Amino acid sequence: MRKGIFSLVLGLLLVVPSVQATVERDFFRNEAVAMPTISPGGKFLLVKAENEQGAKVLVRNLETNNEAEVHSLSLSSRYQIGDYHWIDDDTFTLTIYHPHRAHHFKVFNVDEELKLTMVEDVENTYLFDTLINVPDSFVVVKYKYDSARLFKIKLNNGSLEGQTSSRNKINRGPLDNGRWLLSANGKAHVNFGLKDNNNLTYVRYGKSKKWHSVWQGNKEEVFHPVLFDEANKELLVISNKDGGYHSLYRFNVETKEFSRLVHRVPGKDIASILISPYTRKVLGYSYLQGGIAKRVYNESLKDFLYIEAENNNAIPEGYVIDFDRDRSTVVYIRGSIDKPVSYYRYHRNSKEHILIGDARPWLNEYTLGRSQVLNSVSTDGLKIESYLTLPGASANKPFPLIVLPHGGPLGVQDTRHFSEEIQYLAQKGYAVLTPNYRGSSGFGSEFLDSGKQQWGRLIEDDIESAVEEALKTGKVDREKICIFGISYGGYSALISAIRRPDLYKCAISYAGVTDLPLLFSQSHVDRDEGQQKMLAEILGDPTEDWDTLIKYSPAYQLENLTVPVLIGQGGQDRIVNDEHFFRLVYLLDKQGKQYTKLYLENEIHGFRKVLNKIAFFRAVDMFVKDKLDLAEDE
Amino acid sequence: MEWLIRFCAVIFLSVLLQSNATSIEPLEENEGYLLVAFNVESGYVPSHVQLESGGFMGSSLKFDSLKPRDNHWLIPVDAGEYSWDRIFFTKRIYLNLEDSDFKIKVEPGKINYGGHISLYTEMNSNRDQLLGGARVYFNNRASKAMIFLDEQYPALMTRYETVYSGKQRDHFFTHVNSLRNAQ
Repeated sequence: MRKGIFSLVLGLLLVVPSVQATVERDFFRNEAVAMPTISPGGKFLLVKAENEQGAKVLVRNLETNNEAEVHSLSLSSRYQIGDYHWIDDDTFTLTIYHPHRAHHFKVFNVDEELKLTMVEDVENTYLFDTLINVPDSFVVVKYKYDSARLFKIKLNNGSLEGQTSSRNKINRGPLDNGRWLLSANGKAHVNFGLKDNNNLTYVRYGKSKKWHSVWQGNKEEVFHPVLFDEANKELLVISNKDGGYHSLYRFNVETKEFSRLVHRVPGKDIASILISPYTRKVLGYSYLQGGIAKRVYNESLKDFLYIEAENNNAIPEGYVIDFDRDRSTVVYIRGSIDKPVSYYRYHRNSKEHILIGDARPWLNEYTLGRSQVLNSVSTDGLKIESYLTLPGASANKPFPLIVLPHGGPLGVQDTRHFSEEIQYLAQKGYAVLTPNYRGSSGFGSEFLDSGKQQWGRLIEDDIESAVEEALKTGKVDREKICIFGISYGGYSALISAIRRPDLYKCAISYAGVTDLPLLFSQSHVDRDEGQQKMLAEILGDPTEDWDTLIKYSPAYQLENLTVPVLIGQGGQDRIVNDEHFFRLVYLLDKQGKQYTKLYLENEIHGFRKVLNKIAFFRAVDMFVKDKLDLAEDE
Repeated sequence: MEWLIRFCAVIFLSVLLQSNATSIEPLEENEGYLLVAFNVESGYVPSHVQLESGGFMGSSLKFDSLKPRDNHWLIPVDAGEYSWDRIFFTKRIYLNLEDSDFKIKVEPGKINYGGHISLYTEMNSNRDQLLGGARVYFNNRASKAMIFLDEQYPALMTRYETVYSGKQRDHFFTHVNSLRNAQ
């Protein structure tokens, strides 16, 4: 009876978003302002703005402060605003997506009076490179037979469609399905990718059309070109060759040897290389330290850093996201774990910091959670870094804990940046633990690879070691712990509930894998040998390791499930399709197990619609409060 | 009097419950049951769908009267391999699945399920043109197949083994059978 009432309440949540769901709406509504980008000449700013009526892209003249609407979508529209980029001083591109129909790629001109002229509107075309130093030109990509075809487009030189006929394709090289780097004027000069399990890289230089093979290695050796310094015949490459951590090197394409180390962070992977679109030179790099992204700018670009130097703490935990050609205007972000981001522009001449907009100004009235780093040791001695976020509001007793393992499991990592999900749960009174278990990115190749074929095993040992570490802080209640995750996190929640009912009092899975062998028979995998092989490497071989795959599939271990579970699923999920959900439901029913379910027919692998996300997270809160016997306002 | 009411209620319920079950021809030698499953996920409902049997003398299996959402057909066929061939929207407009490698193997003396076709389309108002193309997936949805068989062919389920005959190995039917045997 209780289950029936609970399901009814969940059903109502989907139909009538409650007036009391203010907290959910505040945390999960889309950002009011996002993605500001400045024109190369520094005159215009493009920005995405959103309110409860819908979303729009605006262009602002920074000299007059006037604004014009480029494109708007109502809240009910199925189209979504994609990305937008300046391709020269007064021309920009805009992409509009639709879940089923072809997307639109538009090109606009804007004049000083903000009069907009749409000069192109085509389908199935994506921007590849702005070629920002070449007026009226850019490179687009189109896909045919799973192969990317690049075309250099010159505006006012006939239609865009006309310039994308096969004979104009600019990426002809040894690896047709590989990846490409372009020179500043749009010549494809680096072609790299995986072939027969080998990492291959080819370059061409000068006027020659001949491709030179410069690297051939197995796929465990990371060799990822980010830039080609053609004058010095050197590739800038991310490699894990020394110590297994991603570092930046120069690689001579004639001697085919690494010439020097450019950037390295001891014990950390470099996460990204920042490259100037104007000079095509490296600006710096970023990495994660204690879950916070650190950006290090090159000496030659110290004029970015003087923002901090001249205005102490002017951009705490902030970073540059865009700048104009002569760097007289810099767009930057400020934000931290307990402060949603704000966008600013800084004008070098006037030394003014001007607010472009707050992403979530409505959260200013909340006291947000604060996080700390936890280090634990797993069962095999591996060190695990996790983050514990405690509610901002104080309490006179330990907090109930939600363990929130991330998806993946490989190549993803949790950070301590603002997270609406974590902050929502903290607002509802929970401590939230986000473990970077083995397989997470950022901690070196060995750590990443050690997550392979450890579903339900060492990965969950890592998570449990993090829980024990959280308990040692004395701030969380051992008797009130639930585990909740999405995708792999959902799998982890289910298998953790099965293996440690003494630790977890309830489990919540959204889009969770429930049947490991089923992953091999999904539509896009079962006829693709490459995908089968890759999946076998991550999960285990379905022939040799069949019994293991069954043993670690939650759907087939339900006899050991004794704690209540909430399972959710999007009906349009193509990554973990809803058969995982329906199998689990069928088998839970057959075995008379207690569970609550929430099937969101139009949702994907995650949440496309804010109202669905609100309904699901509200359901999670109600479920956990119910199972942990917590009062609504506890 | 009370016994009469109870007796009538039992008879009524029996008839009601039995009416869900569907009768089917028995298998002959070297025949198996083929479960054909087709989901119209969005858009236009096809007029009919077609599978081809393998071999030199291959013949077509045609299924019509499709409805939105779930469509299942269970028929006895010769053992062998069957391929999804075409999805017809009208007599002349169809999607060709010939090269898609969507195959179902039929073993004799078993109920054979190879996967569900899921179709997503958007048609124009005249229904003579596909907008934005069509998406077709061939996915293992054995739990849906099992629910259909449970509801429509409960007696058949006790006589014949149900097998997944898609390209990859699957454990669901085996597990359900072991749960049933344990009960």
